Amino acid sequence: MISYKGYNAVDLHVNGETREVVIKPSETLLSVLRDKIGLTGPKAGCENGDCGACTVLLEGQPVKSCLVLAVEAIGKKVVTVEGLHDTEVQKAFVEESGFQCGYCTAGFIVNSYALLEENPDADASEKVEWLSSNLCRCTGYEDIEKAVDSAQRIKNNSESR
Amino acid sequence: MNSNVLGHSPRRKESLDKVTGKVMYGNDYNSPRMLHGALKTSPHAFAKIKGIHKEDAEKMPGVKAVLTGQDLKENIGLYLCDKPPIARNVARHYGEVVAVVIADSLAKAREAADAVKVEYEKMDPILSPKEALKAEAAVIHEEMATYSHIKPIHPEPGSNVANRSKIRKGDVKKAFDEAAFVVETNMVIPPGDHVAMEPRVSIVEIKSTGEVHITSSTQAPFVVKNLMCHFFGLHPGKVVVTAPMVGGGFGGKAGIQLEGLAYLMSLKVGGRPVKLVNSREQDLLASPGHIGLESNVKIASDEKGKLLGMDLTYCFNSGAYADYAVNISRAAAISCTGPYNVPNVKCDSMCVYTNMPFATAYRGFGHIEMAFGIERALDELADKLQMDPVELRKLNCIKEGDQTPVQSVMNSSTGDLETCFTRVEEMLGGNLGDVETINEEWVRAKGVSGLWKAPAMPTNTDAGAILTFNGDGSCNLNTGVVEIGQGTKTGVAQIVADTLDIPLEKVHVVMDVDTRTSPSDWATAASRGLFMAGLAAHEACVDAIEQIKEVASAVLRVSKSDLVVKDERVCSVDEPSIGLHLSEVALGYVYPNGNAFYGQIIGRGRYIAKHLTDIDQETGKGHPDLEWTLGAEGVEAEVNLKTGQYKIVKAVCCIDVGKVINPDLALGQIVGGMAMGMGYTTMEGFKLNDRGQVTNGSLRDYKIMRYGDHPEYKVEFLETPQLDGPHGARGLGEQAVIGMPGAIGNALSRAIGKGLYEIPITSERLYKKLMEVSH
Amino acid sequence: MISIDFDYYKPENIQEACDLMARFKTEKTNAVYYAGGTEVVSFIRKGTLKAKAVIDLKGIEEMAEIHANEDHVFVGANVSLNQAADFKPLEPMKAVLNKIGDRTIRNTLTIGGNICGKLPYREAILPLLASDANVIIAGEEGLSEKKLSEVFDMRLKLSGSEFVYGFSIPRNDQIKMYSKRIQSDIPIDYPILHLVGRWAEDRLFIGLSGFAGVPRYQWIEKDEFDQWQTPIDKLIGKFASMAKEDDRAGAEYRVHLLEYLLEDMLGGMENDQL
Repeated sequence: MISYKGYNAVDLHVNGETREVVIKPSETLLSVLRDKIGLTGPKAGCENGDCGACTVLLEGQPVKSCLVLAVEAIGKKVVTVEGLHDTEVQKAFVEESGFQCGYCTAGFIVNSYALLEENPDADASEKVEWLSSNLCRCTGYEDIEKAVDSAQRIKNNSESR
Repeated sequence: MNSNVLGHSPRRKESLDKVTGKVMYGNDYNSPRMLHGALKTSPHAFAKIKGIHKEDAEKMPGVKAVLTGQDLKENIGLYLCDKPPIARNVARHYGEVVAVVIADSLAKAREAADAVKVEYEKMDPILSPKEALKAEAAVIHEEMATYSHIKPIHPEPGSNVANRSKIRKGDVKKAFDEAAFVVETNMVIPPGDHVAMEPRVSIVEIKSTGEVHITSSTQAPFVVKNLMCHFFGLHPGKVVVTAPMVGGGFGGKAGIQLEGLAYLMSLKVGGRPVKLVNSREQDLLASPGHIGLESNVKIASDEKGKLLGMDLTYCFNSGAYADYAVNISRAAAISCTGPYNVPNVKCDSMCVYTNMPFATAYRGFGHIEMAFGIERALDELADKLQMDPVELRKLNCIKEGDQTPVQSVMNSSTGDLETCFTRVEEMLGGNLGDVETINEEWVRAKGVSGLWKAPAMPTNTDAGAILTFNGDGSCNLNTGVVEIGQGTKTGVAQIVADTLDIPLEKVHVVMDVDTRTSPSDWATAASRGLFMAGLAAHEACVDAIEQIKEVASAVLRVSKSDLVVKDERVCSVDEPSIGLHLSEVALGYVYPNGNAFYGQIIGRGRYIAKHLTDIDQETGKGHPDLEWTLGAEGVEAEVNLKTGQYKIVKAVCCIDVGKVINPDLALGQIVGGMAMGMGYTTMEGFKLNDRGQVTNGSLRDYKIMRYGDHPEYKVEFLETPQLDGPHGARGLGEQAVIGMPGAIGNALSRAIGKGLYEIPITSERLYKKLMEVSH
Repeated sequence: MISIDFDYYKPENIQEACDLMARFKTEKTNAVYYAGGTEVVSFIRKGTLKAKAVIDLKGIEEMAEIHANEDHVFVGANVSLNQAADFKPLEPMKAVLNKIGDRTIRNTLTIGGNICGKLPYREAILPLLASDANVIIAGEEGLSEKKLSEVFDMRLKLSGSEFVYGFSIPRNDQIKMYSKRIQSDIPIDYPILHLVGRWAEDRLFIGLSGFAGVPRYQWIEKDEFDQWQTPIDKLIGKFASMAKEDDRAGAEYRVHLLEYLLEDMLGGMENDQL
């Protein structure tokens, strides 16, 4: 049986790298990513699973990293916004002004990315189902909607070619 | 002039950093040297603090110190010095800080904060302005007479009134005596929160030189600097405030927040850097939110609907402390009638203490609250007159030459409100008075609202811009405007690119604000960032161009008046081949033989508000209003008459912004404002139990709109130039929230055929109103 | 950020898990079973749950399984709500599961966790009850399968070191389940009323979440139902006194909404000739 007490040196697989960190069982994945690995892209907007600003991919699935213990991520692949490079979603968020203050953006981008990977043909209601997991206070959501639609179009066009 | 910049929507300067997660906000700065602070907050709304037992906490591992109100003698307050950084002897609202712990990790600090034990003696909390104003009400601030305050506010010691502003224009009694129609309504809006996605954070270190270095999620680094000096006797040159990227402000980070407390904590541990960050729950309750209002609005008109007078009482619910609230009640007085020409006005606008979480600035600054009452009452007047609600408003729109409530005269920069209403009506498809049946349960109705706002700020509000240059002829723009998501840094850069006629990519923007190196700038608030920093930046460009011409004049042997700066060159106006690339002059000209001349170009620009005065204490007469932005908004709502459930399906806005500098950014501000106004009206606000404890103090329970909850937005801009604005532009950041409560309240009231007077308009509230037996 | 330390255990089988819990109970150590963690982590952070040991059941691999044969569907307690909703043989439950929490949360929120949690909603139990599911309980004696309705009385009755291992649901792809959920303002919120209904051959299931302090349900025999002149009034009579009053809605409004949804449900069912 695996168990962790006090401090433990463990390997976490984050953004394609293996990182050795010393963690306690009580530490959330969010706080370990931010405070011990220096990946401050995911944000502690509420630490209660309500805002989605801390969203990361765990084995390809978006999760709220404030509600996941770091020990649960041992042996699993973690991807944060810093692990996404030049994706259609990121480009579209820039082109369509899918953010203002930017604090929710990492969460929206990671979640939108996962949505379009899993369901490239997502319709409007599926987008609502996925993206209503994240809060934004600046945009009124219209520009985020445009960004995700645009990313989907560009992604599907480039893949069909 | 660079014709490809102004009126276009280049991408934000910080775009790539924001989509890659690389942008740094206050809480992203970490160092093993840092100590961490944690707050202990009051579970009671109003209680005497009988004793604090901190011994257990102090003994816990990693704990450096525990501070309580007794340890700190200073009060802090923006305009009225009423707030101990930690509650002293009495806790005045649920969630107020009663102790802080400093430890070597956040986890240890929070664990120790839990171990601090506080003994309270509960008192009956006052939970509304109405209660607070009763003669027998407990006085929440018994020491009010001892509080220092700025001159323009007028506290009333011995009562719960922290400020009272009066407007006395014309003869209101006569107006009501002669009126053909009179309406009267009473409105209630609860306090609530901004819910900026970034919780507030401050990091403070006191260097061995005595320098105080503050990194803070602030919209107002210079306000923080000045107040830190004022309250703690620091030298202004020794306080350095850095504002990194801010994750949303909406007014909530415009005053002084955690900085004072974090400073006192650092002081306690010998100046070591201390980081104090709010949990979301603390950000909602321990730090200030938005104000509430109870208003009484009486309007008199003649038989044709021409407004004769307004008699207005605004009791703002400031919560336990005054912060910006004393100026919000004043700002609401200044614009108390909404954007209408009203010859006779009486208004008493009060800032009233209650035992609710306290209020600071919020997008709209008193105008969103004020407008709800005015616009609902105007619709009731239209009903009485049997007049179209848009016609009534158009008939009374304020225009050039009309007097505002403070008797200042609307000048030739006055926006075209009448056309705004026409456009809003058209965007909504007309027939504003109709209620359309969709099926046996659902109906559709529309509502409109006017809006106006002038910044409420010190009479000497300033801004500055410094332009330095690089060897390739590109420039670096440094202003004191904080980037909080509004995009002002990019907008100001566009003005620079246009004025210098260089590509926008060659205007590099200093993103973070540092009060030691950035030019002074009052605050990133009041929708004046682009207006003031834009003017300063324009002046800095003009200054730089003068210098560039001076160098070129000598080198080229062409008189300055014959030189122009265009296409990244300075050249002879009639013979462009005689010229220099900006890279050749940017850091001083170097002759082929090595001789150098003039040195680097440094552009300096400044702005200070002109001709502003305070308002008279008895009549309100004065000129506090720098520039007015006018507009109109409307919504279409579908309402289920069986359940009270409803949805806003369309939200429209036409606003006269003078000049659109960046259409995407402008649109973002308007749509974002409308969304915030919708949430404010339909679901937000603190819920309290009868003991004054907030029961929706987390984002699980304090709901804000989500993806998919938003309606279709339609926005149009008018461009009646602001003659003294940068390229004719005026403020637009806050305005779009202002009309939403009125427009939504009017649409829903029309749909159910009964008047709604209380925010938030929940489905249940609508249903109960439907069930009410009409009198 | 959690400020209280605890130990973490990840047993690999039922025996290990039960032994651990039994040991902690003897030692009077406050221990909790842990699955998705969405509730436990947030309660520990807020200090409302003071656990010194967390026993993560995700090491028991069978509990993450979901499979079906002709007669039954097995759903392990550790199956996430999204996995369960996307499993074709559970199509009838999908509409209910997809309304819980939000999509991202449902990637970690497990069906066992939702039902055994401390929050008063536990919406996932309604379609299970409506489907006449059995609950498989793991205990020191191994696995035991019981009718869910026998173990659930306002909450799951588990004793000692028992925990929910999974559910066995009679397979019926034809079931049409009624599920409508009303929130006080926006969809991502707890329900003020979630009505789940189903006509089985000879009886009607009515289940409510968010209406009372705990999920409540009743089966109504068809014979009885057919005798009612005003079935909606009768049904409301069975539930009205349970309506709670809280920040999200008053009791009176909840009862009104129940009436509204019952009308909708019974009207719709007639149309579908269910």
